[in-house]
This record gives sequence, C-alpha cells and structure tokens, in this order.
Amino acid sequence: MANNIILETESLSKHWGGIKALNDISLQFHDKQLHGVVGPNGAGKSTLLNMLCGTLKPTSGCILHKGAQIEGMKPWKFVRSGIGRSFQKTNIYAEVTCLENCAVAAQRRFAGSFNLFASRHANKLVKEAAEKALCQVGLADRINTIAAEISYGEQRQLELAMVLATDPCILLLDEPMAGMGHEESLRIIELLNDLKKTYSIVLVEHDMDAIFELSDQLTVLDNGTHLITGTVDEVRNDPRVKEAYLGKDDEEEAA
Amino acid sequence: MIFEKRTERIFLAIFFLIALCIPLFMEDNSFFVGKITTILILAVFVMSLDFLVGRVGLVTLGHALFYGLGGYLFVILTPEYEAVNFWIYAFYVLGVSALIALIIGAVVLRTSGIYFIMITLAISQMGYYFFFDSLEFGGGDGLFIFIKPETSIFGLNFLNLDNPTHFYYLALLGVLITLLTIKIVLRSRFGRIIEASRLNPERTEALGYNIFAFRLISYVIGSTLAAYAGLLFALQYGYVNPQFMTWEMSGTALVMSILGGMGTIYGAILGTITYEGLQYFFEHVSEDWKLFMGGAIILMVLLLRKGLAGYLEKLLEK
Repeated sequence: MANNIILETESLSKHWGGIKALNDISLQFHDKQLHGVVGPNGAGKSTLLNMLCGTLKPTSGCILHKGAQIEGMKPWKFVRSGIGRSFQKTNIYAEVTCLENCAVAAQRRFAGSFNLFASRHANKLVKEAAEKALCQVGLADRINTIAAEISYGEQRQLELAMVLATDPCILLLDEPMAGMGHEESLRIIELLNDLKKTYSIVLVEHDMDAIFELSDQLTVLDNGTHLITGTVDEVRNDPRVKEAYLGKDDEEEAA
Repeated sequence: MIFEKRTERIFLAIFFLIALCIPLFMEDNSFFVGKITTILILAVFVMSLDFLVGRVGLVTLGHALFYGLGGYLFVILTPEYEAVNFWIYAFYVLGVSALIALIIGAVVLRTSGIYFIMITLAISQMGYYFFFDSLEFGGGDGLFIFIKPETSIFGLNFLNLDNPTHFYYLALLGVLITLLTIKIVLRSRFGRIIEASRLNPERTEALGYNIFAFRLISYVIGSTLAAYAGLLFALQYGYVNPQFMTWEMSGTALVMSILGGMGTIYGAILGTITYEGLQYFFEHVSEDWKLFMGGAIILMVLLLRKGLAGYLEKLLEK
C-alpha cells in the first residue's frame, strides 16, 4: 500500500456479557482509499463503526490514529482529531436550515464556541465553510431551506455535508445510501468517488453494487469475526465469503 | 437584532412602555406597585427557568433552590445592622450562587431525562430541609433583613430601596437585564451549540462538542439569574424563609412558563403576568379560587398548545 495508514485497529473486541459482538479485529484504513465493510445483519459492522468514532469503548484491543492510541478518548475528541462519522438513521437538526446544520459542524474549527456574546452569524469563516460543505454534496440550492422540508435523499446528503464541514481526514459512513432511490444512490456513489480522492473513507453499506464499485479495499465481517480483507475481486472469489455471506445457493446473484 | 420575531418586539415594546408608566399613575397606590414589583421579580425567575427548560432542554424541578439561595446568601453575607451597598453585595450573592450552581450542576448534569428531574427535585428538597431544620438560619421562620441596602454607584445615589416606586424600577431593570442576558447568550456561538444539543444531543457530540460543558455553563447562568430574582424578592419583603425553596415554587414557575409559551423567553413574562392576574382575580371572586385556577390553567393549556406567546405569534406573524 502506497498510501499512509490513517486509522488502524489492533485485535479490537467488543463483548456484551458473554456475547462477542466483535472479536479480534485488526484492520488498516489508508489515506485516499475507500474501505468497504460488509457482512450480514449482526455481523458487527455498526459496532465496529461506533468504536472507531468513540461512542462505544472496546472491551479489548486498541485503535491507532496516525500511530497514536486513541480508544480511551471521549467521543467528542475523536471528531477533533479528524474522525468524522455519519449515521445510519438520518441524524440532523430537522428544525433549522441546512446552512445552520452545517454551521454547527463547522463552528468548532474557526471560532470559540464558548463565546457567550458574539453573534453566531458574525463569523464569516463558519458561514463559508458551511456553504462549501453544502455545495460539495450538491445542496447549494437548499442552503436556506429548513432541513425537515427537504427530501429524504437530500437529508442523507446533508448528513454527509455535516461530516465534511467538520474537516475530517477520515469519513466513517454508516449506510449513507440506506432507503435511497436508484437515482439518489447514483448521485451518492458519484460523490463518494469524488471524495475518496481527498479523504480516507470507511463505508458500511448494504448496497452491494455500490460497495463493489467504490471499494479499494473490502472487509467482510461475519458474526463478529473478521473473515477477509482484500480487493473486491479477491473477496468476491473467496469461497468462505460465498458461504458465509452470500449463501451457498446465491452464487448467480454474486456473479 | 436579538429579538427575531415581530410578535416578540411588539409585545416587549408594549410591555416596557406600560411597565415604565405604571408607577407614574399609581404613585399613591403602593400596594398595587408592590404587587406588580413582585410579578416582575417572578418574571425574572420564570424567564431563567424558561431558558433552562425550553432552550437548553434541562427540565429541572429544583430551580427554586437558587431562588431561595439568592435571599439566604444575601442575609448570611451581610452584616446584620449595617446598610451595605446593594450592587457590591448582589455581586457577591450571584458569585456564590454561581459557584454553588457549578458544583450542583456538575453532579446533576451527569443524568438526563426523568432522572434529571428527580435529582434536581431531590437536591432542592435537601436545601429546603437544611434551612428548615437549621437554627442559625432561622429554621421555618427564616431570616429577616432589618436594614435595606443603599444603592449608590460612584457616590451617586438615585435609588432608595425603601421607596416602593424605586424598588419597582429596580425590579424592572432586573427584567430587562435578564431578558437581554438570555437573548444575547442564545444568539451567540455558544447559543448555537446549546440549541444544537437540545435538538439533537447525539449529533452534537458526534460533531465534536462536549455537551456536558455547554449544559453546565447554561445551568450556572440560569441558576444565577434565579438567585438574582430571589435576592430581589427577599429585599422587597425584608425576609427569606424555606418557603422560597419549595418544589411548589419550582412547579408554579414551570406552569407559568408553559402557559406563556415554553422556550420563547418573552412568553415567560406573559405567563407570569397572566398566572398572577388570574390568581388575584379568582382569590377575590371565590373562596375556592384554587379550583377555578386549576380549571383555567387546564383550559388554557388545552386550547393554546404553544402557550400565549404561540397564540400571539399565530395572530401577528405574516
């Protein structure tokens, strides 16, 4: 791998009592690459993502960000070190404008958020960064629309814009295409193709076509264990994957 | 403009115009002026609660603790038979209140939802019984303020707190300062994160904000404003007792804030005036005024889902 490792896990595990949600996962996420994570329901994809962004603390193992151990940090500090995440279920501020949604995300980078006196609208940099993020995802014409009033697909785009506005170096995306129509999905695929030129991306997604098209590296999880990591072709032709994930009888579909 | 809504501007303009003039026409009726003064002081308290409940998203049932503390701290900190300077001692009282709020907040803000309601209630009840059972703080009778403080600033003395009209204007100034403080904080960059943490705490944390710190600072601000209201009330009547801290006091303020329109801040003024007005009216009409009062409140809450402010906004916006 030519690109630098941005994020790395070393025998990461999460146990709930006796249940091993995730067991001994060692992965490396490289700069300017899209790393797909797939697996059947309950495979531990979301658990992995939640640990990478700090909301879940691992039972054992560690997470390295550019070589430094970070798994013990508070969740809000993860974002500060450049780890941005989006949510599987749309998680935005529905009551305010799209611009304000991104302004919350961008404010931390430019201006003290403990300033009790200066108007929130006074800082031009915050506004510009928020607008830039909205333009990046193609919501330029929705800047002043209340987030609840835009379509579901656009809300998914806004979700991405908010992550981008935090100026991350790695994006953890939890099913950004969930519930989207075909055309909306295509737009997101195009967007992600563009974004992976600049960012490292970890993508958890159920849309197989999208994953196969986008991934530089693909990891398959099954029942909390790490099955395989490799290029799309390597993974597709691995017999264990066919058996565990795609099912023995579904080989035509996988082809 | 920190007052974004037209309704808000119209209401506040009318309110302050009338409020400024009341003593001019009622100079002889010191009972009436005193009654309105009390309502203004309560409005400060209710606004501070509305800020916490409606804007920060902290539903507290222990807000009256700080109302009582404002009064108690003043009596405790001042020498008994000496006219101290009001502004200096108000500063002390608010400083100590803020410190206490910081300590209590650091504990209670570790909980949320129903547990937050319960723990704030529990802590304020602890305060109530602490003062109720303590002999040196006067027990159930409370403490008395024998000499009202003087209010000179740089040798200029234009307020005499023994004069009901002067005290009235001090209370009105309290309303103005509280209103401006809350509105400026809400409009600020800090206010943006406060709003975000109320709308979606999970997301706000995922965007890199330590919402505990934001809530703690808000809690200190809200509690300190409540202490200022308590200090004014204690000065107006010349005493403070554990009744200031009852959970009924917190509950009544919550009703006033809901009645006025939760989270609108100016609605808190409206709610306080309406509640107190209704109570005054029913008390004079019937012995069973509590029954009518309860009925009236149920009716208003049912009919006005967003409170009186919400109703006004429906009439006046666009």
